[in-house]
This record gives sequence, structure tokens and C-alpha cells, in this order.
Amino acid sequence: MPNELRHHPILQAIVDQGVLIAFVLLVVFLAFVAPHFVSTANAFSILIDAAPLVLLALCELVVMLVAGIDLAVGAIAGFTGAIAATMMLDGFPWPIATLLALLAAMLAGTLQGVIINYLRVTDFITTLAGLSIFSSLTLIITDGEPMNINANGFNALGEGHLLGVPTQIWIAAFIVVVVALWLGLTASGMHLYAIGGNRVAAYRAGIRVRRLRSFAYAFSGLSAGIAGVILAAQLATADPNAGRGQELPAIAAVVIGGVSLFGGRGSVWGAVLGALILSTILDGLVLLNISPFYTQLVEGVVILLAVMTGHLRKRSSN
Amino acid sequence: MPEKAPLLELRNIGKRFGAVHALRGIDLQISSGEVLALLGDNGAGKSTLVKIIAGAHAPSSGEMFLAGSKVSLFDPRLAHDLGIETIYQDLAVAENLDVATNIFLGRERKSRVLGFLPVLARREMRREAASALERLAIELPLRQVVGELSGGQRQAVAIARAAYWQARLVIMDEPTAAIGVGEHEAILKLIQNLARSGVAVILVTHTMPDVWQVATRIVVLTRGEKALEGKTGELTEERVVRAMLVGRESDA
Ligand SMILES: Nc1ncnc2c1ncn2[C@@H]1O[C@H](COP(=O)(O)OP(=O)(O)OP(=O)(O)O)[C@@H](O)[C@H]1O
Ligand SMILES: [Mg+2]
Repeated sequence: MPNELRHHPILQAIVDQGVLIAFVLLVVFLAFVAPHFVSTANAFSILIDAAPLVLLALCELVVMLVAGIDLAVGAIAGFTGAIAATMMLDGFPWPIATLLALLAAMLAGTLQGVIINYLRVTDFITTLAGLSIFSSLTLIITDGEPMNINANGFNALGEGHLLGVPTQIWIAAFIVVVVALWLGLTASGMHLYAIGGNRVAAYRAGIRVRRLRSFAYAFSGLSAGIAGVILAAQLATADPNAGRGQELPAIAAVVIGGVSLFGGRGSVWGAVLGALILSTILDGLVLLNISPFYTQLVEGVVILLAVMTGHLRKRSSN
Repeated sequence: MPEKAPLLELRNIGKRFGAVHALRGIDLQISSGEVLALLGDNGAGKSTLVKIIAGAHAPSSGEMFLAGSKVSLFDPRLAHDLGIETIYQDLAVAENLDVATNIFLGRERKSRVLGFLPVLARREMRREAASALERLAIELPLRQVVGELSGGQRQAVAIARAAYWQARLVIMDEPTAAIGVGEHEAILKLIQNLARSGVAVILVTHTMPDVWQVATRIVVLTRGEKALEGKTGELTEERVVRAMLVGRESDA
């Protein structure tokens, strides 16, 4: 692109806020072409689908900031639902079962973090193994059958409402705010960016690189666990396949949202927008009666478009 | 007058990287207020020695004493706590963060929100960074991301970072390599000011005139060994260069 054009203020704005503008265009487009798209019910339906995806996208955001990746988030989500369900079946009160299941999820993440950062197995391999192991544990725990969950309090986490808004939207929004405050206001949040930006500089500055990177994976496990609780509560069932394959849309969401796979670049805002774009596209495909066989094709095209405009954005800022 | 322990003393420091013997048998002392020029040809081991003192590398052998007490298990955090500041030759900075954030990286100012939540005091750090840069007569855009700065400006960030903290020992590994004439003079002046205020400075450089301008003592490393040591006034440039090229005088 010629220089004058690249620095044109309007083009610059489009490139800078590209993700937001893409989302707005998408919504406007669907509002015109998709029947019943503009309605409170449909908005909630998109947000309900987005809630677990946003949580999984936050997992990827945090580990990618430190130049990592977590392929096990979907598997850990399913694992968490299964643990909560068995414990409730064994007579544990639902709040305790839920907390212990989330603790297990966080331990799972911590374990991955420790293996990656202290035993120096690459993140890709470690979390690929994690994906296998936790998927299998879920099958073992559930015996491969969906497990019913009868605790109303637990199911309310995925079926209830608060002030007219579905509970899982509140939960996701709360975690989003917490992570935004963590990354934006605290030293450890900023250190995640420093590690991703230049690991050697971070180490020499006295940042405990390995510990903080392990913590990023612990957070990822926890956030994946919360997504798993929502998924189980929505259906009042711990499905042995819950969360399966969800690492892909989660990674897609952050990539669409402008998070760098190489670390140090990305925002909560971007991850949330990326997840919303994906959920909105899925919703639009359903409303337009397009066969689900096209879903992943569309997702793939969107990812490529996002990455290519991201390159454009980087080039124009240099 | 009783003999005062030197600020930093190295005894018999060695460092190997696999088969490479980067340093052997290094004894070194430096006292407060001294400027020690650490000289040597490319690959002589200067940066390796700097990293050992800064806690970025562990020595393979030998001992270190700071103000008379033995220090071991060095890590960068501990080195900072002990008052050692380092400008590394490779100038590692977080390219994705701004100037002020880099200057305070790892030692951020915080304020407490609601009485207990520690939150970054960004405005305070920016203000402090601005006045530190002013004192050093360095001009830098504080909010600019470091990755967008020139090599010389990055060097200025690293220098500001080291000079900001109340250090007892400042180590500079080729601090003037990438910068302009004006800043070059400013750095030499900074070194002299640091020494005058009682800070010990280790300066690694290939620029001979700088050595005679600011250093009080010279140590020459050749292929990982100490080849020559002496007061600046008692050594000639010719002897120093000779030691850098051929090693110890008795060997040649
Ligand atoms: N991390 C490392 N791994 C392996 N070898 C290393 C490492 N760091 C340094 N070396 C080796 O140690 C020796 C000394 O290197 P060093 O960087 O200390 O030299 P230097 O005196 O600083 O040189 P220059 O003037 O070029 O900066 C070299 O042979 C180098 O290849
Ligand atoms: Mg060097």
C-alpha cells in the first residue's frame, strides 16, 4: 500500500480498531439479512454461547502473553464438570463440589506450568499431552456416559438469571473484569507483558519468570474449569465430551482479537471481542439456516482474515 | 589506617560453557569510588565476567565477597537488592513496553487501593522517570514503546535504568557503543559523577581514550585470563593493547 494512503487518518482508525469495526459490521450485516437477529432473546443466546468461550479465550490470552499456548483448556473444562458431577453424586454439597473441582482444574494448570517452566518440556507438547490425559480422565470418571446433575444450586450457574440476565453471563463478565484489572493495574499483570516482550530482560530485571509463567498456566486451568462448570450447569449434565475441541475456537478467538502468538501483545478487550465475533457468526449461520458443515469453514476464513489485517495493522504502525 | 575490605572481591572465578573455558582464575577487587576499566579483545570474557557479577550467570568455580561478606547463589534480584546495577552489552529491554515502565521494571512503585490492593503507580513512575532523565541530561519520549526507539535511545534507557537506583556498584558493558557524540560525553560525565559520589563503576569498553579519561584502574582480560592489572596513570596504552593481543607479559 502506498505510504500516503497507509497514513490516512480514516484508514489508520479502521486498522487500529479493526476488530471492533469488524464486529460492528458483522452485527449490522446480520441485522439486515438474518431473521430475528435483532432481539433481546437472540442477544442473550449469543452471549450465553460466548460465556464459556470468553473464559477459554482468557486462558489463551494469559498464556500467550508469556509466549506460551495451552491446548488442554477444552479437556480441563470437561474434566472439571466431571469431577463436580461425581462429587455431587457422592453426596458433597454443590458449593464444595464446585470449589474442589475448580481447585482440581487449577492444579491441572499448575502442573502443566511446572512441567513447562521447570522441567523445560515445550508448552506445545506438554499441553498436547494434557489434552490427551484430561480427556481420558473425563471418560474414566464419567464412564463414558453423560452424568445427570440434580443440584439446583449448581444448575442455576448455567440456567438461572440475575436481574434478568443469565447467570453465566454475569460469571464471565466478572472474570473478564478481574483479568482486565489484573493485566492493566498490577505489577504481575504488567510482568506478563514484559516476559512476552523480552524474557531475558524480564529475568535480569528480577522478575521471577518461571514462577509467573507457571502462574499463567494455573490461571488458565482455573478459567477453563469455570468454563467447564458453566458447560455442565447449562445442561444439568456432565457430558463426557464437554469441552472437547474447544481449544481451537478459544485460540481462534484470541487470534481474531489481535493477541500475538509470540507473546507480549494482546488485551482482554481483544480476546472478548474475538470470542463475541465467533459466537455471533455461529448464531448468524444458524439463523440463516446454513448447514453446520460450513461452520468451521467460515471460522477458518475469519481467522485468516483477522491475521492478515493484523499484519496490515503492524505494518502501518511501523 | 585500618585496611578496609573492598566493596567487591572475586577470588579465583572460573566459568565454562560446555567445552568453552570462558574464564579462569580471575581475582579482582574494586573499592567504592573507583572506576575500573575492564578491557580485552572480542571474546576475551568481559561480558561473561560482568554477567557473573550481575547475577545473570552462576560462576563454575570461585568465590565472591561483597563488602567483606561472601555472596553465593547469585540471581539478578539478589544483585539488585545488594546494590549492583548493570547495563548489559546486549541491552535487553522489553520492546513492547514504554520507556518509563522499562526504567522501573521489576521494582515498580505501587499504591494501595482500598488500603490493601497493590496497584501500579504509573503516573508517579512516569514523573520520577522524567526527573531522572532530566538529571542525566537524557532526552527520551517516556510514553513511547522501547521497540520504536533507536539503538542509542535504547542504550539511554538502559543507562537511566541503572543510574536511577541508589547503587553501590554500577557495571556498564560497552555503554557508549551505539550512541552519538553528545551522549557519549554525557555518559563519561555520569561515570565520573557516580564515582565521585562513592559508587564503584566497572566500565567495559573498546574505546581507549575513554579509559584514560575516566578510569582509575585497568584490568585486561585475554582469552579468559587476567593478563594485566594496574593504575591508569602507571600504564601506557601500548602496554594495554599488547596485553590484550598477546596475554601476560611474562608469557610473551
Ligand atoms: N551463553 C554462552 N554459551 C556458550 N558460550 C558462551 C556464552 N557466552 C559467552 N560464551 C563464550 O565465552 C567467551 C567469552 O565471551 P564474552 O561474551 O564474555 O566476550 P567479551 O569479552 O564480552 O567479547 P566482546 O568484546 O565481543 O563483547 C566467548 O568464547 C563466547 O563464545
Ligand atoms: Mg562483551
